[in-house]
Amino acid sequence: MIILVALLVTIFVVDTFYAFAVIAIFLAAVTLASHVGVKTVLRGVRPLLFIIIFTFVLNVLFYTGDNILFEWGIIKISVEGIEKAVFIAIRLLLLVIATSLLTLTTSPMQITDGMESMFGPLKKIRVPVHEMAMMMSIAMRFIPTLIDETDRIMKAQTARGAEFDSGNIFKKAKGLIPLLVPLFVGAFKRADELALAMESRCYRGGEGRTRMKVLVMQKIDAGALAICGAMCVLLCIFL
Amino acid sequence: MPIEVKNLKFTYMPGTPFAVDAVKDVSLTVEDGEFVGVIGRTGCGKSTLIQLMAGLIKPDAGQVLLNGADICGDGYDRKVLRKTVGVVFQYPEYQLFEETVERDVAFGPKKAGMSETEISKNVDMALSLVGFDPDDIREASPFDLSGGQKRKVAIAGVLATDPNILILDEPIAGLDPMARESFMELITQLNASGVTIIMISHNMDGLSDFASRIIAMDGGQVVMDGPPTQVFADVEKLAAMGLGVSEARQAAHMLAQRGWDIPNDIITVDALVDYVTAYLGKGGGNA
Repeated sequence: MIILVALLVTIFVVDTFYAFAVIAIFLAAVTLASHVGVKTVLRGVRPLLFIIIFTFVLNVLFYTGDNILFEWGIIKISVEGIEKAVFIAIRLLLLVIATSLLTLTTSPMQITDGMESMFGPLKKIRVPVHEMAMMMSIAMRFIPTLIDETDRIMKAQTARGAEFDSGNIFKKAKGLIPLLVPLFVGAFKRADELALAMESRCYRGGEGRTRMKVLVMQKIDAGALAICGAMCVLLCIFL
Repeated sequence: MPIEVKNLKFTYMPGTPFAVDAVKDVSLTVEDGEFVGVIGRTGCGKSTLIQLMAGLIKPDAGQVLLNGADICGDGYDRKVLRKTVGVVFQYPEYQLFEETVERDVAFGPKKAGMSETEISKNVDMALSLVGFDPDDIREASPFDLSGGQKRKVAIAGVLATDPNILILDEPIAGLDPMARESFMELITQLNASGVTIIMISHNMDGLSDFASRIIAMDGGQVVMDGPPTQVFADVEKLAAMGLGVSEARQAAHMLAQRGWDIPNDIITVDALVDYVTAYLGKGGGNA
């Protein structure tokens, strides 16, 4: 987690191609070590490919530089523009790969637990760290439930003649009402029930709460942190 | 309007390791006015089958013919389908969304393109069918009602399009015995007025009393299909599929195991009581 943040910062800070090459090699090594499989990692990139290409094209077309290669109306293609575009595309790609590596190797529970202990010191200044972590894990837990529910309500309303995929944008937005209202009603009701269930099992916030599985920093974690930290620092300073 | 299913297949998440063949090669025909009970253990594909029949999901192979027309064919008017086939899902109360009961019930008819007068007539009819006085409840917010009332309103919303075929997916789950009984009464009343009923249920007693045909599914296939007396006769085969029978049939089966000469087509409490009275009257049972 910390590694990821450091890495993300580094990816933003560095601005030479050499640095990118180092990070790319590093990420490739991590991918191999994680046993996730190159294909799975690349599949995570696919949905974002459109955004990456889009920003690439925008940058190529509209970035104003000194060495203009081609000009037509407001469209200016310059050497700097192309350079910048390639840069941003690589940057985005690396960001996405790094984050998807995290989510592929670490369960959401572990991430929130990790965040809770990382931000632990903030408790001293009365930041509700535990509550925030709990909210996050609950939110993640209910994503699949909400997807199921959406599917169910959509089918029920379709059977009554609702159409979700026709008409212009206003019609479509209006068509969503029969879906969204029951979805929200259900979500609020579920939240209520969950709170009741948690309280009836004696949940009362983070004070004095122990964990079933305690996260312990092990040698391998420390090693990974050290390697990655060193790399990030070096890259930031020298490149 | 008969509804016919031909070699229907459906797979969830095809091409992934999670692929599940929910419906494998199912063919059947439901004629006008039938009351079909669909039984099967959880995950046997019965819900998928009725969603396919209602045109809510597209089959991977095979056809669904409504009155001879393929509902997935090009140029098929879905409005006809939506008007003809009504679907009540499990916990239908979650589909309510409008500000007043009247507007919610009118949603279906409006989408089906009915005229204003027709809509208000149908709304009143549907609300009275489920046991409300339309004028009492018309202006109420559906979210202020009790659970049972919500469900009735939701069902009224389905009935308001005046469907010829009503498909129900475990509609009585979570109702108290009284409400369950009045609901089954409503269904039989609709059936008597000519509406075809296709109902998934785990309530074997209700099905024994009212259904004219039972379809038992297992592993995505139809394994038994016939009148309830015939399907419920084979207690062992049903038990092997994880299914029970009606209480009366179970009692009769146990009597048969204890040496009574009792026919295997007794599935309702009435029939069982009649038989036992007659049997004892003859002096046959000193047991």
